Amino acid sequence: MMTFLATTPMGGMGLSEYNYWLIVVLMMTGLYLVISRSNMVKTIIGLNMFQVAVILFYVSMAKVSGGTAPIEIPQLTDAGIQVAVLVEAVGETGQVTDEQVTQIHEIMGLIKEVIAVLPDGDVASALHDDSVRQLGIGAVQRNLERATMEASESGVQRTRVEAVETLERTLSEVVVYSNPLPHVLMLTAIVVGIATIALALALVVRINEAYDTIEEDEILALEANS
Amino acid sequence: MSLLVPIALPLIAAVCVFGIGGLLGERWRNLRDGLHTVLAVVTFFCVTRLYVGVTQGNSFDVSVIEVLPDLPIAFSVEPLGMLFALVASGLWIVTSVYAYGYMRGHDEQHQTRFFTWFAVAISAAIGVAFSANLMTLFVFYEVLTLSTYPMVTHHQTDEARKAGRIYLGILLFTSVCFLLSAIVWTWHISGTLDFTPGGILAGKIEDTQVPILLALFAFGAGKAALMPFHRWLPNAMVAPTPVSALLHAVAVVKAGVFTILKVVVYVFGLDLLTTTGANGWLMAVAGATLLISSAIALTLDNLKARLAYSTISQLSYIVLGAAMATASGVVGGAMHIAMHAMGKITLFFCAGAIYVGAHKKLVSELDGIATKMPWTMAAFTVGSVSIIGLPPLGGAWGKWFLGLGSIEAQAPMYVAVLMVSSLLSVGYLMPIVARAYFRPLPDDDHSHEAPLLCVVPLCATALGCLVLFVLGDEIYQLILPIVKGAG
Amino acid sequence: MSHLPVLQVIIPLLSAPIVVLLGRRWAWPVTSLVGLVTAGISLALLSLALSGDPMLYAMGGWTAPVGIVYRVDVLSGLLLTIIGVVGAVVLVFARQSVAHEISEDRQHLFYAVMLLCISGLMGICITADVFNVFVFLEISSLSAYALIAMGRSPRALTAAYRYLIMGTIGGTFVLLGIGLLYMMTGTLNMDDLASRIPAVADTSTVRAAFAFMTVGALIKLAVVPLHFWLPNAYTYAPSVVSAFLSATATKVSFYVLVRITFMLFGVSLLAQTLYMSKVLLPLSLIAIVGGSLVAVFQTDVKRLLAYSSLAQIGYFVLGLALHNVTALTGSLIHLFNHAMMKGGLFMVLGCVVYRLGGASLDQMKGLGRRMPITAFAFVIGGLGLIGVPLTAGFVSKWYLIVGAFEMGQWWVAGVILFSSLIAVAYIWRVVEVMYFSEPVESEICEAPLGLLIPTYTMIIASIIFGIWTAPMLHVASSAAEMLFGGMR
Repeated sequence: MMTFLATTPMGGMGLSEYNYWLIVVLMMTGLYLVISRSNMVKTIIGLNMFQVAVILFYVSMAKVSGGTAPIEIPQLTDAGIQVAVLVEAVGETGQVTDEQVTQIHEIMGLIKEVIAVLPDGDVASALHDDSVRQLGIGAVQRNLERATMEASESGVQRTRVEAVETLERTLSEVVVYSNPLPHVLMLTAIVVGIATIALALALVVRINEAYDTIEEDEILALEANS
Repeated sequence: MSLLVPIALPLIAAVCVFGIGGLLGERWRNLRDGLHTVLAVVTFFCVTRLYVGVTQGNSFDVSVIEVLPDLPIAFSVEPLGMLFALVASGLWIVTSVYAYGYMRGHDEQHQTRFFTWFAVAISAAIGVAFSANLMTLFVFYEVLTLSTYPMVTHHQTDEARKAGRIYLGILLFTSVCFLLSAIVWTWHISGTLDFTPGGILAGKIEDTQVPILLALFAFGAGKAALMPFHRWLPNAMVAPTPVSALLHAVAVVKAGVFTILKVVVYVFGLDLLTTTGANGWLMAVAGATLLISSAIALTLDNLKARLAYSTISQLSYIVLGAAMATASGVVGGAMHIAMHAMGKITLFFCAGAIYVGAHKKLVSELDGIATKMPWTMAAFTVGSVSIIGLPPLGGAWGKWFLGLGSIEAQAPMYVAVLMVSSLLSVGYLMPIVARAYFRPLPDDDHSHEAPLLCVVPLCATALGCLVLFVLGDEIYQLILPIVKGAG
Repeated sequence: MSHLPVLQVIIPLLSAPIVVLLGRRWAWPVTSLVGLVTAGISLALLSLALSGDPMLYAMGGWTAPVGIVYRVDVLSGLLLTIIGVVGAVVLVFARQSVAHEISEDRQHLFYAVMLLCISGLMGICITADVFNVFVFLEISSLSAYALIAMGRSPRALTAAYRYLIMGTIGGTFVLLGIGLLYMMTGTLNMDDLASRIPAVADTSTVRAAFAFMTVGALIKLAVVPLHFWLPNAYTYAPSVVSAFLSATATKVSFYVLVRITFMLFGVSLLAQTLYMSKVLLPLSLIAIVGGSLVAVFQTDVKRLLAYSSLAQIGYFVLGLALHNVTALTGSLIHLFNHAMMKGGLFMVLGCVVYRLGGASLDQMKGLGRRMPITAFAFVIGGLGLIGVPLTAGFVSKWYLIVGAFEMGQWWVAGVILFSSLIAVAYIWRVVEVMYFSEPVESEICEAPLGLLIPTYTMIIASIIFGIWTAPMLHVASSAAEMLFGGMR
């Protein structure tokens, strides 16, 4: 299963959350520029910085450490469908037939294809280090082997069901994606920001035509006198 | 016949007046004014038919529309409202005739606008009279304030503007800050705003809160001109005299005291007030206003100003009657609504006639004027005697019952107050009569009697003072039901 | 019929470039036609919302919480109606007013941007996805900045610039808040958020999100002390724009605030942990009293009405801060009533500007004689602002006062009543100048019918809805009960 909701937690205030600190600094700098500068273009630049800080915030929130671009991998989708059918069937009968064991091997083959293609950093570490951990192709393999070595029929079934469960869990952790939704939202926000800045600059051009200056305190003085 | 008719008729009159005068112009003014008076007569006729219906035992209730949930604009007839409506619609007829005389005699501008708002104000007054709940009363009370503003500021001079500011300022301040607060509070406590015999607050309000709520209502009815919210009344004298006459002797101020009476009888209930003793301070304030304004009236030379302070004093009689919360007190106050209206309107008519005929505004200028203006001064004398409270004129009834009421309320001090104020009213009214009759006329005097359209109404109202004395018992019988069962 | 929600937004949105292409001759007819159609759709949606459950429309067929969903419930219906009807009336008014105030080569662009603004405002009110709210918020705001900048005075440009800076900061705060909420809950759909937030409500992230979103909405709503953009913006914008924005933009920002506080964070959460009343109550009272007081001393009537708007915004927020159904009903009905009154009053000033070139008190001397019909419209609209019974303003004030009494806050009721008196002061100042001063010239120059009819439509509507209150009260109280009941 793909996880769409894996976001970085905002727990402690330590240095590991340095990205948020940077965003805050950027945001406050932008806001400070807006408030303190009387030159209108500088104010607009400050406004833009403020908006960019918020955009960075969204993007930063969306990035999952160890996550990759959320592009669909067809083999994983296939595998996912097959595993879902398998789990349902096993859930009904409580048994894993020999045919289903073959199916498990097919699915593992699919996963290996995927792992072979993906760059190193994108694959969950669990799958590489499968000799030690509970997850991974290796773990499923070991489960199946133990199944063949079991004495009683019930023991065989039990181990095979374990294999299916391990497979399901492995599949859900093959690849971790970054959250695409905030990126999409920020596309819109960037466009909005551009429109705002463009409108602001157009206004500044017109103000310059009318008042011959773009310093706010001078304009205030001119307005007070006229 | 629906209750809505006497309220709608004046509005129709307003539309007709505006239409004829505004679209056709001043040349058609006889048609305009004639239609105005005809509709006034019809309105009075409708109100009297209602009266006859009530004496035969019919009741009338109309609910128009629910402006707020459970708070409809609704009308019903009860004795106090009946009396007020009769007074307002009856005196409308006389005043309209007088107003034609005055405005034409003075060549006043913008007569169409004047008469339009006049009719609207009458409609509002009748709406106040027939209101079945506090919300309706408040709505029409505010309409009355706003529709009389253009008349008060009719001359559109700086003086008029300033007077208008004080007028609107005090009346809106009191009605919004005090009256509306009182209404919302009542709604919050008792869940209803309907006028009910015996009151709607009994058992739902704590004893300590009763005086506060009473204060909010009493001062909220700013039109009753209780001190210290009385200044709008003398300031409104800058208006043309017909305005002063009808509005400030009849409709506007009577709406104020009517509100207080109605609230005392139908919202609080006489029993609640007497058992909690919340009314003592109101009696004191009314009594003080009575005496102080009479005293001020003594010092004023401007005739209309003197009459204005006399009005403030007379209004406090009615408030005093209401405050006593005894049967005779309330009856006396209610009767005085009619008596004072008739008497004061006569006096104002005369003041206006003096201005039109002799161009005089000050009392000191009135030496010997009775020779030139016999009818006017005769009427003035009759009106003065009524205000002073001597039989055989109507004002006597009011004073009589108020005196009885103060004894019933175990506050005999107020009998003395009433007597002192009678003496004071002699003091500020009789010298005018004396001057007019017994001083010699100055040589260079060019006065003449006022135009007929002015003299006829003022003689009619002077006669009315006599008639009301005779009708005193009928009025008493009309009012009595509201205090049956009270102490 | 089932596509009405999306048509409500798309029709004005797509008409905008069409108007640009059609050019000057066809700009106004097409725009006003679109305005009428949009108003019709909004009324249809309101009646649908009143008759049953909220209507849901999934964009592109993708259902919540993955897709963007439009939802029309009673609250949305109320606001859609306000925007639609005001937009339609104002567009009729615009024909002569825009021809007079905006240069010929830009008029079709003006109408296009108006359509964009309408579309953006509609979108905010109809969507059930928070990020969509941000997008439409920015669409409507950008259009508003451009519309204001089209005023004749160079101060319109600086006013638009200041509004842009403050408004963008506000919008970006809202965006930041949305991001924080997304981090904690993983969803952008309002209903979904409402069910997921209580579980994580006790974190500083969610509290920060609430703070950012609320402050962002408050900036757009021009609540004191974040109001500095409003007076200049309303004063120097073209008359049509002042009328339209004063009647719609702040209402929609209030809607955003209400959605954020009630639907996302929930009533009980607000009362217990977020102490909103303690902050909003004093701010609203300051806005009410301060706005009214400053209005009394203005010499330009448009500016006077702008400060009066600040006070009225205070009433909205007061109803929210008092935190009970009655007060919130008062706020919601005041959205509708104020839209009619203020829209009508700014249109009156538009008539004055059309004839006299400006709307300062000096220019309006003796208006009672020169433009009697227009002047009388101002008086009636002004009475509504004061809150005289039989006008719409009275109904909203009544509910707010009763709401204050129900919460035991007598003094708040006193402040509301006192502010009505201050309103008397500033309205009567204009009335006195109109009726008691000598005009500069004395020929009668009444405004043309094309301007008077839309103006009187709004003004008379404010009287009609002050008497025939039942329908809008039903809508407002249903909406308030829905918000407090937590119904979806």
